[in-house]
Amino acid sequence: MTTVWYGLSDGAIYALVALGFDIILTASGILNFAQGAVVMFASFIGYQTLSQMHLPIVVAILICAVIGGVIGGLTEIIAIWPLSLGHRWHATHTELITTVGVATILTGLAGLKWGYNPLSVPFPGSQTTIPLLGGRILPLGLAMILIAIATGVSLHFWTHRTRVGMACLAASEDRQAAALRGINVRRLAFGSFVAAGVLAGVAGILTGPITYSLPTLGDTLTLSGFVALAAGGFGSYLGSIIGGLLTGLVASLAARSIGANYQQMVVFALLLCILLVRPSGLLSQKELRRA
Amino acid sequence: MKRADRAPALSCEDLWSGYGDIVVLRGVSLSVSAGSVHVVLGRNGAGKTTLASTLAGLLPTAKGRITYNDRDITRLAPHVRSRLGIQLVQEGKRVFRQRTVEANLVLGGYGVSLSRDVTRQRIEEVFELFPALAEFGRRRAGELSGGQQQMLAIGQALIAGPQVLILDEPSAGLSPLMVDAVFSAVAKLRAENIAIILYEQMVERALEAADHVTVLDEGEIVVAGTVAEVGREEIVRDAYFGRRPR
Amino acid sequence: MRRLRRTASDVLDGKWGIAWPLLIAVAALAAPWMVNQFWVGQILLIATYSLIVSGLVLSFGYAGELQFAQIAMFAVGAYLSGILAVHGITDILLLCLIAGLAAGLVGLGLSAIALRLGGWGLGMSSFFLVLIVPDAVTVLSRWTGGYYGLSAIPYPRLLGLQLGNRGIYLFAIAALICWIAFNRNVVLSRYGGIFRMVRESPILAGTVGVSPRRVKIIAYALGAFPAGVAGTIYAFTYQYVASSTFSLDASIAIVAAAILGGSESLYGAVVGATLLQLGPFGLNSFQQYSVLIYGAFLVFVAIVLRSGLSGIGTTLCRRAARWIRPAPAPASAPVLVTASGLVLDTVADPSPPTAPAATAASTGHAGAEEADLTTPEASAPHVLAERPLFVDGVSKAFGGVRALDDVDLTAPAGAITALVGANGSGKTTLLNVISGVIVPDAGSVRLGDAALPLGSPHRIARLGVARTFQTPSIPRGMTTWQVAASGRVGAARVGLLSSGFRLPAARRAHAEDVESAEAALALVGLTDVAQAQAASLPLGSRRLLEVARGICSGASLFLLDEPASGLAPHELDRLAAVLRALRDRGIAVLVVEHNFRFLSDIAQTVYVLHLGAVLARGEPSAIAQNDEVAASYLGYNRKQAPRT
Repeated sequence: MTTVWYGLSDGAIYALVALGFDIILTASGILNFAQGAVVMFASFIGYQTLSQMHLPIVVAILICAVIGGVIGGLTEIIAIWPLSLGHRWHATHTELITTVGVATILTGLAGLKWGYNPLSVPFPGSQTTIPLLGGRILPLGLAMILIAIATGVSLHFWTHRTRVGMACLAASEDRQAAALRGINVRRLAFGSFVAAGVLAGVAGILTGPITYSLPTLGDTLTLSGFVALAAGGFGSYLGSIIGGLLTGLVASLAARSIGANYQQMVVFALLLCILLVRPSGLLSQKELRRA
Repeated sequence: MKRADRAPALSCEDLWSGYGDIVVLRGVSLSVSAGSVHVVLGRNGAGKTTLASTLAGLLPTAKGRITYNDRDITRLAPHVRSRLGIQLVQEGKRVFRQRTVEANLVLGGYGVSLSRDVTRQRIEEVFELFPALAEFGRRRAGELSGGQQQMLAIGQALIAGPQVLILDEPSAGLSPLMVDAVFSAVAKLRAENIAIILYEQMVERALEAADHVTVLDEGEIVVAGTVAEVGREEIVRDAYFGRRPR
Repeated sequence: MRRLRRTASDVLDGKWGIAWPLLIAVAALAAPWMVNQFWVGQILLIATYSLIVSGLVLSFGYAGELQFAQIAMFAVGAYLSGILAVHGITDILLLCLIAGLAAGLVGLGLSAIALRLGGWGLGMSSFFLVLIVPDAVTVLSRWTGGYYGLSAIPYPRLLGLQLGNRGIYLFAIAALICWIAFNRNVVLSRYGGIFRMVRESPILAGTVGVSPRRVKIIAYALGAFPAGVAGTIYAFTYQYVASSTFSLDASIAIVAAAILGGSESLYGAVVGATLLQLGPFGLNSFQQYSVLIYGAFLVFVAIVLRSGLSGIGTTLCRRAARWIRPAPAPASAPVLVTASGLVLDTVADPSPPTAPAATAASTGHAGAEEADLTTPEASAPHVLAERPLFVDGVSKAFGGVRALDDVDLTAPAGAITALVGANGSGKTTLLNVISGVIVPDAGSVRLGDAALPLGSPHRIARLGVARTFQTPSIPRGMTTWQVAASGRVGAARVGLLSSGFRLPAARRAHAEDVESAEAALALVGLTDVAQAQAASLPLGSRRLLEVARGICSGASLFLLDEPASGLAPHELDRLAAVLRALRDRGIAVLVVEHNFRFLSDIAQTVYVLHLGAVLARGEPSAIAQNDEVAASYLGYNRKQAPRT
């Protein structure tokens, strides 16, 4: 059962990454490869503010959120917006390359500043595990699961109830038609990058204590987040919660029953199964658009 | 002042446009005034949809000018033009299929930030114009028939209270009854002083509804003028099939 | 993105001039005796990475999808060779083959994903593949040495001869030279045309009998092969293989190299690899700033390429080349003598196109430059037996709309049948059904006695159906005669290996291609522009070129989609003459057209479609008088036209 809890708390992290993907995907149709890298970078910021600068936890979270948002906005301005000059309406491969570029830049910066050895980020909350339903889990881990679920559900309701949220849904369905109805699709895209950045910022400082801060974490988070996204459905917030928890669970169970070295491979196999059998994921109708 | 003499609401001069390397429109000029209907005819590939997209801002203008109420809008983004009062109803019934009919209509007013009451009122007006839509308010737009989707698309554009309405083949694929509904809506809107540009395949019906007509072929204007001058069917038929007027 | 794709796929447009590369190759081979050990090592690494990068350029250029897994295939090759060598198999040639094939298998697996997903799904999956390499190594650590790596790999042998460091180096250079030469042959053969067509338009490929799926699978396998070979070379170079080499960052660097160098054929891969290795941030020295620079580079270059500053180097090279050797003048309106002897207008008299030395030399083809005024009958390509077209009860609905409603149609051999109707009447849909692009809901199509396999364009094409498009589908970078000859690819197949090694079968096929193209071009009157760039011909000529392509394929049924639209009067006459010539050879011709005057001149029977059903059929003059037809055309919907 402890395995299950660890799987779920890891899965919560993947879910948060996937939710970040969803936000951007819905509003702009782009898959932001750098999403996991922002989480990684924020975890380092968390290390810096908590461990080195000894700031109170709330301030640290705020700083991470802001920095995350700034990185997100910059990503859109530098790596996405220039590509859409010329009235293209569909995202293509090039965004994949530029967002990979941004992720690499973040990895490089992190490595330069903090090096390539894992750094431990202080725990908000208690360090001892609590017993729950026959297993043990860190309070932070439990908090992550709840935060992931809460975030996903709120995002879901936000997009379906508010005006701007509906505009995002419309834009994700048909960008041209949305623009004709007066929706500023570019501003939506920019906003989505900033929002996803903020989410990644907060997720990062909470992730750090669990996974340690390491520059290479960025890409692994991105890929695991992608599996979560694929499992739950591209663009579905509720789906991403389920997909993330599922992925974390599968990875954890695989590590326990077959061996830690098989963990990634099992997740990869899961990804392939999903993409080949049900490309739209469990809860969504949309397939990821062929570039 | 006769309708035809009013200053044009929307006009373009020497418009060149296309997709990437392919030039589709070659120096097209036309204008439409408030309370009049301007019909654009032509075969597939003649450039009608390109013209509509360019006027609405979905395609960049390579050369030429687009003017709206004496204001140069050539470089404006599509959502800005929409907010200024130019509404395009694209061909192909492009509504938001995953959203309900009501949501679609509400989205139609997004650009002009209407209050709840005004939105509600305008939705009622659309339902009056297209009674068939009223009973489907809560259904997903994707479940409607083609004709109903087309009416929804037009309704979306109307919620925003446009001054200029561009309709791209609104009657395509519709049953005769629906076609009647569309054209009577056009007549009603004309009476409400809206400027309408209408792209059509159905030559006879379109000519009945129109004040001005332009025929496009291979991206160029072949015939243009008021219906009284041009309306003779042979000229339109010839122009339509690619033979230049003698 | 088109610009990026174009850059990587300029493999196909590359000049393949061999003067400079030959010089460099010789210099590289002589290096061990000329420069010190350090530089020899650098060149060896460059050669190794060139192989890896070249594979990516190939798969991206031919198949059009970007994948990040070259490093994984490199790893497979390196480990496999290392393990086998440690266990006693040390023949480097054999190991290269095994490694290449193993990598090719991985490539095939990747192609399955690519065909299904494309775009990001493929990108992510391929990234993931690289991610699990260290795990796989650890799991198999009994053979791979796990984290500590596979060491003590012995020196290789080549056909019994023991190779030292110098031997390995020479082998690597030789391997790279052979690989590039092989690909050059492939691209210059009809496969160049095949890859271009698949890249340009899968529908076009289908209509000449090529299965785009198969071609893409080949592209991925072909792209993986050199990475495996590179792995073998790498294993013997360092006699040590560790999984830390095959990292995600390395994967990204390979893509960066491909983007940076990728243009002007596979030589671009070598350029990219060189810049990668020799630049201040060599791949192996994991300096602190290198990662950062790669990232910034990717962002910058991708954006810059997108905005059109692409290939500044390429443009400069092209300008320099043009100054040295004038480019062939694009034909504006050549002199035309058609098969029926009709001499048509000349507007300008362009200078005769000069044949670029490289292409002519490699293909040994000089004949098509002369205008061929002999009647084509004597050298006519083999035409399949006269077979009429029978369409029975075809129906098709899209959503709620009936596009085709129980359509019956016969197009006899040796006659021209026309299909008319207002927009939305279903004409193009019917054409798409017959050529296999769309599967109908009901009904069948027969050509002579053979039922056509509906929904499979390339199989239908091979049964003798040729099709033209309203916007002519002419791939860039091909000359006129190459486009014409591309019609033969479905009918007379030649293997890829055969083409790559220029075996006799391939040479024979090539000669037949040339003959066939000459005859077809003579028939349509395009002999004068045989060497010109086909995509730059005027519209009328491109339409006729599509017909010539169909002639080369030996089709007995021609489907023409609005061939007259946009043509000037003299071009219309020319088109009419060509269609009559087709008819006279017993081909069944089905023409979809709006231009009634044009049709009345050439068609024997006219079918009128209205809202998907056949409204009327008869001779052109009768149809022109028919009131119902006029009504349907002009959209008089109030009188419901009765169905025939």
